[in-house]
Amino acid sequence: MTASSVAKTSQFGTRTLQFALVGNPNTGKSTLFNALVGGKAHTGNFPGVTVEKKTGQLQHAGQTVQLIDLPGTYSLSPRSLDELLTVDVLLGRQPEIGQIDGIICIANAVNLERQLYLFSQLAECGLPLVLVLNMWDTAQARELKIDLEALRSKLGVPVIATEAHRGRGVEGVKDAILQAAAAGVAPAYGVEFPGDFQQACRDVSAFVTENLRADAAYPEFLCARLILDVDGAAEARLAPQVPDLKQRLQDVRAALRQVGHELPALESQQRYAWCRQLASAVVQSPTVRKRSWTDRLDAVLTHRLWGLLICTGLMFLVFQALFSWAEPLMGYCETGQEWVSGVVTASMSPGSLRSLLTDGVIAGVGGVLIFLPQIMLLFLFIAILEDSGYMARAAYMVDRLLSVFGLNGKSFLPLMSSFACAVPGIMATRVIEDRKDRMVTILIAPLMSCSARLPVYLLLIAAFVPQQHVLGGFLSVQGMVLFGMSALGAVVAIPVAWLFRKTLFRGAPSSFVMELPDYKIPSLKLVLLRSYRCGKTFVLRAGTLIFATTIVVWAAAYFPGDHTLIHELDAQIEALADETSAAEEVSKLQSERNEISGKLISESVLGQAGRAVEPVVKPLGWDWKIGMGVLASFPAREVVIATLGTIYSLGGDQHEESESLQDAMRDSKWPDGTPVYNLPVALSLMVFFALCAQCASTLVIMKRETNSWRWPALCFIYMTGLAYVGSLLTYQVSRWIMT
Amino acid sequence: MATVALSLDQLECGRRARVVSMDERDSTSVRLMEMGITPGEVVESLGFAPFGDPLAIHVRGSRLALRSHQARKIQVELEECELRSSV
Repeated sequence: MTASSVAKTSQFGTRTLQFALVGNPNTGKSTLFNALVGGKAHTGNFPGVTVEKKTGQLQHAGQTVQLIDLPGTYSLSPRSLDELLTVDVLLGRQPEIGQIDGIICIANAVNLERQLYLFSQLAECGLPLVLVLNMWDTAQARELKIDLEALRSKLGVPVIATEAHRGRGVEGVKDAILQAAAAGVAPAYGVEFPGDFQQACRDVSAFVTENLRADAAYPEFLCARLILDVDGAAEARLAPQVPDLKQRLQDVRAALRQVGHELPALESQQRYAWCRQLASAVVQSPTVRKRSWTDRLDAVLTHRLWGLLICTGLMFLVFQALFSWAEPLMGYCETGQEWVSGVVTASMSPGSLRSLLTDGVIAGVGGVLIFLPQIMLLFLFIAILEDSGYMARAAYMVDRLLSVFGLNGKSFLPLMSSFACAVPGIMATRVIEDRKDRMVTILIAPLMSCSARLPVYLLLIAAFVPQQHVLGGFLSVQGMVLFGMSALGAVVAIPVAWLFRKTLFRGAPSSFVMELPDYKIPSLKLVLLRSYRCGKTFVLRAGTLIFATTIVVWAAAYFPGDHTLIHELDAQIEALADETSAAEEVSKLQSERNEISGKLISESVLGQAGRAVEPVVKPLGWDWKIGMGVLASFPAREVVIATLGTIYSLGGDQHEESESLQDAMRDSKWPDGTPVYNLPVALSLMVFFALCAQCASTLVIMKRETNSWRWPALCFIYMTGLAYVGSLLTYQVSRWIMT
Repeated sequence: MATVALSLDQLECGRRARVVSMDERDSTSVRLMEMGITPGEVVESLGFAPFGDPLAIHVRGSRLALRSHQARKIQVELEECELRSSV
């Protein structure tokens, strides 16, 4: 790269260049993207499709470049409308992006030949290209000698070797972007398709252009796709506008077969012949494939016995760690919450506003925020497992099991992600090609124990499950209950998926094709970034949705009712609080206060509604407060903690020395004086939350991904039914066992 | 050259064979071709998953997993050197 070629870029003036980043999965694409834009990415969705739109900007040599990160793909042959979007962006047919200036193709240097397949398709888009060979260090370690200079001169495009995880070569990529944009020419060296085929593409283009009455010729690249992809997405999109398209394409294909071209094999054969020719000219590899680290690890990690044991053990360890590692961190959060609450209480006089702040906002939102450490830890574990390459092995191992219930191994990642949150989980089902498999996965994804349930479990377990250790102190009973609750949804999902597959989504067994990438040390930066982003989303949710619900619940529990007496009592208690001699009087005032506040809350809007639902929830062992907490948590499961926090805080159930919700729950009593909560009630509540669909975001995303309200409605009904029955059984059976 | 014809799911773990033909009308096969399993290419079996399915192969420098009912549609032949070593 010479300075003069960079200097040429002044021709762009102040215009922002647009480059798309395309590559196979497992090439380190996200790492390179982050390295190029410095971690500042904007994510959203393309309108009308379920493809994530990830963009970021970089500045180099005075030029601004907008990068568009497109989903990882092995080929540009679009099977779905979503995949068609990638092609649209590259061809400048996506209105939000407009015409792009070039493409960065990232390839894994370790298997260049396979990766050149996508490159050969990109080369036909007619845009300037940059080829990035990532994981250069691994290729070196494998004794692969790649002649970059030869590759450059053959392809006629900039070729850059990078180690994106170390940031090596990233500046070179930036130079190459400007160089390619300045040159402004597409690579001339590509796959030569037979003349008959090229002619057929031109004919189809003329035919479509005429039928569309368009000014510009229909891109030949799309015409090649129309011919090669039988019933593909390009055809599906065009068919309504061009009535005779299907027949015309059938004729074209038949004619090509007549002259001896095997369709659709023609494409892969031609392309791979080209890839092989090119790769053999520029890559020197050791003749015998050496047993790599990945081979050695796979021998153990996918072993018939050890593989399964390790997989189960790993999952178990994650949940054990969640409980024991996050506890000290949660302690800090709790202390912080109590401190804030104390400051507010001390600086304001008793009144409605103080009640809203301390009983509503701090008790509610704070109660949810405490669980931030756990949630970030879970996302951290998932990110590590995924980035290291282990997740693909897990999918490979469980495919057979999942196929029994009509799912496939690719359902594993969406389902595993759903253990963190069903929203990204449902979005991750986009990788499942089979529609039926995808629908069933979407419908059962919310059964996986998401992080929003975690706070509910953690709270109830910490308060009502004995803190014992078994097996020589290695396993905590609390950890085991947590594991059990987290596993419950997944276990229930098995018959549910099977049932769906036998009724709504009947059909032949689907396919499973998956690459098992090389193992690698997870990139610390990427893993932390993902964990941070998920944590941020959680905090934002706590700050908006949960915040709003908390205020509504507070208001419903506070009004109507005359709180003047309570505020007077509060003022008296606080005035006496510092005098040790008045301890007796304080406790008398306190109990008086609690009695009044209990009466007020039961007469409030919330209390009245609660008593109306009490007959329904009583068989589950719940009192009206729990019932209302559950009802009010419709927007999001974790809201129940905020709601309960507010209800108990307002209801004066809590002990005067502690602000914690745990203690408030332990002290909560039925009118006859027996404690509301015991182990059966706690279990029944946890089982309800394990199985219910109390999450508006999940239902909304489900609507978006399935394009119909029918599926979220079905999901809500079946999950609520399951939750009620499951909870009822749990309460009745565990009460019977315990007495 | 002496060859033995079999389908990909019958290939023993660690053995290498050349792809002879595959069912092109099947959309999964087209995807497999895009991922590098094309007629004439040499693949190496990496064995089956713990529950007996799917199976993994090494092709064009990458590892792919596929179910045996798909592998059954891919005809392969053992090459002579492989035959000799198996005796």
